[in-house]
Amino acid sequence: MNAADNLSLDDLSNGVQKMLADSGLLEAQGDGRVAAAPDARTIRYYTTLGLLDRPKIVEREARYGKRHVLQLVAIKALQATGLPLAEVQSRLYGCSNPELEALLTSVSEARRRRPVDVRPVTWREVTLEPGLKIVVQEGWSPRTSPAALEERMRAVLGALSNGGAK
Amino acid sequence: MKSPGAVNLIEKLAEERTRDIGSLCVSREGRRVRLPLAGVKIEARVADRVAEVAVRQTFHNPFAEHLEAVYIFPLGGGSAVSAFEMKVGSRTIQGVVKERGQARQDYQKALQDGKRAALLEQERDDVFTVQVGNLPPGEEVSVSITYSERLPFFEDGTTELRLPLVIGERYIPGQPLDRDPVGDGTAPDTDQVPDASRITPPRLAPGFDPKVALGIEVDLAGGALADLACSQHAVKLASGRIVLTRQDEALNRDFVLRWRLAGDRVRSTFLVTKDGCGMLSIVPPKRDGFLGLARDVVFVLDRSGSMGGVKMTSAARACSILLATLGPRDKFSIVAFDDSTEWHGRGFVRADEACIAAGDRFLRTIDARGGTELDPAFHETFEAIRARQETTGRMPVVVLITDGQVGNESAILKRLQQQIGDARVFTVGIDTAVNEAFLKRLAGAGGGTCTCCIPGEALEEALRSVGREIGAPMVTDLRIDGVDNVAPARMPDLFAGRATTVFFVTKDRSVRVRGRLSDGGAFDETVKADEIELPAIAHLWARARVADLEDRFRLGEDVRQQIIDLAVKHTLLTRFTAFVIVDESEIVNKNGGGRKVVQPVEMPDRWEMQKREAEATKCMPMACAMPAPAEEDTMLDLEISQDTAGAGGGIFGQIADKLRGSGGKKFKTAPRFAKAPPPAPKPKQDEGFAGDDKSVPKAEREAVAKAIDALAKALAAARKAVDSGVVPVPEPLEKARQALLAALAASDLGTRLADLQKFLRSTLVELIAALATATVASVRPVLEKAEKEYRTATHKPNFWEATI
Repeated sequence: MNAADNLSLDDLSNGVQKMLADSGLLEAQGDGRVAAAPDARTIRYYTTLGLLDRPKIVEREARYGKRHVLQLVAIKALQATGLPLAEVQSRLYGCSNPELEALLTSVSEARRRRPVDVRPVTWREVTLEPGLKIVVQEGWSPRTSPAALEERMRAVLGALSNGGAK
Repeated sequence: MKSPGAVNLIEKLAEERTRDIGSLCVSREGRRVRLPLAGVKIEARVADRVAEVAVRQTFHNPFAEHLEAVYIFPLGGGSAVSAFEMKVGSRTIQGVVKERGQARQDYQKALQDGKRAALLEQERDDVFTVQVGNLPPGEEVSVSITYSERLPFFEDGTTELRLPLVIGERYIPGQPLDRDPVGDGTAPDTDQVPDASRITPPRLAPGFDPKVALGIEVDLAGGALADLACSQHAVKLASGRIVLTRQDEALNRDFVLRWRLAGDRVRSTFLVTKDGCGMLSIVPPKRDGFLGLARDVVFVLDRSGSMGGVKMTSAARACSILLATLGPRDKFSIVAFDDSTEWHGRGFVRADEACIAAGDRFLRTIDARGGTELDPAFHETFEAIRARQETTGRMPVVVLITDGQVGNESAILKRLQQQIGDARVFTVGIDTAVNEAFLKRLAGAGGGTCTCCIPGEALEEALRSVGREIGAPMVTDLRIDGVDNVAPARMPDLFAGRATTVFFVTKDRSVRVRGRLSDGGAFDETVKADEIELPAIAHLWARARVADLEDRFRLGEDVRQQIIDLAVKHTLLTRFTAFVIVDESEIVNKNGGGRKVVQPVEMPDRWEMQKREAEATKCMPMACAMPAPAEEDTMLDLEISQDTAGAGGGIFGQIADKLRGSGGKKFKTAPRFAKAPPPAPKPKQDEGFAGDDKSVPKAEREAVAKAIDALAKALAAARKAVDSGVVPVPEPLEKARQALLAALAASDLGTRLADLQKFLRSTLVELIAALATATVASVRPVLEKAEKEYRTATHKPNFWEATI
């Protein structure tokens, strides 16, 4: 049997850890979520989620192979983009090797193209009057409460329509 | 982060936006989930406290190649599955019941031939696997499973219907086996649970909505409802049926419905079909101030990891409630178990106030932690009962409080059957998705009752009657005059407040039931029959017979063929039979190949996964604590297109390339669902050879296999001679016997094949001796006995036989 198809759980964990470190992925995320290398417990958990295929059992020991490496790298790569585990599972579940490879490729392309600090943004919708809404980026003006914001916008609106009348 | 009025506007934008590869877009609603199960629709009709339930599962194929969908799911415990059909477009194809090995072969062959096919197998009393294969891309098919169930009811007329929707995560003891797994689940098969991979479906990560449309409709025939309670789901009445209020319920807990019909008088009833299948329900007599024997009660409390959180506190509370129902003449003991046992005090103590208070204090210290090693805990319990000093006039009672989430049910049942003595076993199930079938079986075999409740529910209410029941049947030694084939064969005793049901075959239109009241008096009741057209009764009778036969099989009786015959005759799913459907009308997958996807299922509601660390250290996949998922306000979506497959770039591209490069073709192709799952001609010694133990050197195994082969030939020759009217010559048999004994002596296998050794040293010797003197007529029975014993001694059981 090829050595790469006969990894113990520790081999798998260490191997993937090294791959992730080499790729710079571990430093990429500051929130500590993916920084942790996949330890034995996590690997078993991924197996119960069907994200990792079952290991082969040889002499009562679990043995992992290249597909497991690919699956594990893919999980970590998606987590590094900020996806929660449920979302990772929904993308990777049932994927064939070519699909996993394609996914890794596109994640890595996206990483190259994207500026380092991309964060999700939430927009707030403020209804001023029936038929008129404005959208405000969350955190645009941290000290402004929604009510205060609404009041200010009404004032602006009033000023505008007064201007029109003039 | 979210405040009222805040909207994730990006979601809306995403729909209009072009989805560039790796671009930033967001979606949640409307995105297709790439899982095979699209919907589950359950329709139940209850009349005369028999439920007839149709479960329709819809599978679709969201992939670009052919799909084999696998779904591991529960059905009501002890239910009789009597029909399986598949709907393809407007066509409906009926399934047939076959011996399980044959059904599995037929299914595999159909897949290889490129036909649509479906297979339904039973793994446990309540665990089933359905496989639907060769589903073309984009297609949708549905399968329907029909079963009937006799519902439990109580003297106040309350009836309960439980529709399980998810299988709990079961504890799998034992060492992993060095062989390919027999199922598609996530746990490796072990020596103690050789089919663990068939009862451990993959789980959905927290927060993953699989978009399985769930519909439940219950039709209660027979009058106006007086009380209706659905303990875990919101329900409403719509055109006379009870339906789910919400459209988006998850399949993560049992649907439990309790009701009482207005004006329903509870009495013993006897329903009989035209062809004489009878169902008798006996209601115990009303007796007040009844005082039974003094009891010695052992409370066996499950403190395993799966009991974590509200389940553990509920279980301890349940134990405390039951403890308080004991009287001053009773004695008790408490044992809490996970992978080890912890006894409260030494031996039995009187159930006086001080001791009950001490017991309560002990219960409050119990927290959930390790594995569910129920078998050794039961062993200690039965030993403790056996070791009692004072036994006269005292009834030994075991009360097990658990979620029943174990995979080695068979071993535990066997232990109970062998060690129970005169004790009675009662089970109290605590879970949102309890292993009810197993707890019912334990209680049935233990001459007690089973009660299930929801953690955190009003436990006092749920356990009100159990305290009265424990150890004190009102009527024992029940028998019915003039009927045949009673099932269960050992009629259950009558407990206060709870009806019991038996099935049988009869020509009469009334039956006389007699038994012994607990105070020594006679119980004698004659029940007149109501003739009824209800095919379910015959199915339920057959199912109850099968359960009896399974109990005998577990103790070593070879009733395999009887079970198969009964099941085929009544189109019944059992552990030895399976339903198979082959769509002969078209070849849909000429080139073979495709993808196999196992439907991941929800974790049962309110399970606490953090407590499972102790279990995670064992060699089995076990869920464990994970960092909380990120806030779900916004999600980045990296749409991956098939077009970019293999276009290497960046570090991951390099990794992928590297993997691809070294992996070669074998690695690139999609795994598992092989085009022709190679039923490669197995080496000879695998076929029915009991000594297929991989830990023994190959040379030794082959030597033994060769010798067994030679003996088989000699036996076959002897049979041929007898059939043609000649007394066979003994020499070839003796030679083969000596050779096999020598092969066994030279190997470790000798000590493992005890049955074979016994056969070689006794029955075969008898046969050879008989040949020297006898006539054909006298040899025949000896030969037949030898043949039968030979088959048993060399039979390698199918994986499902170890789990009965």
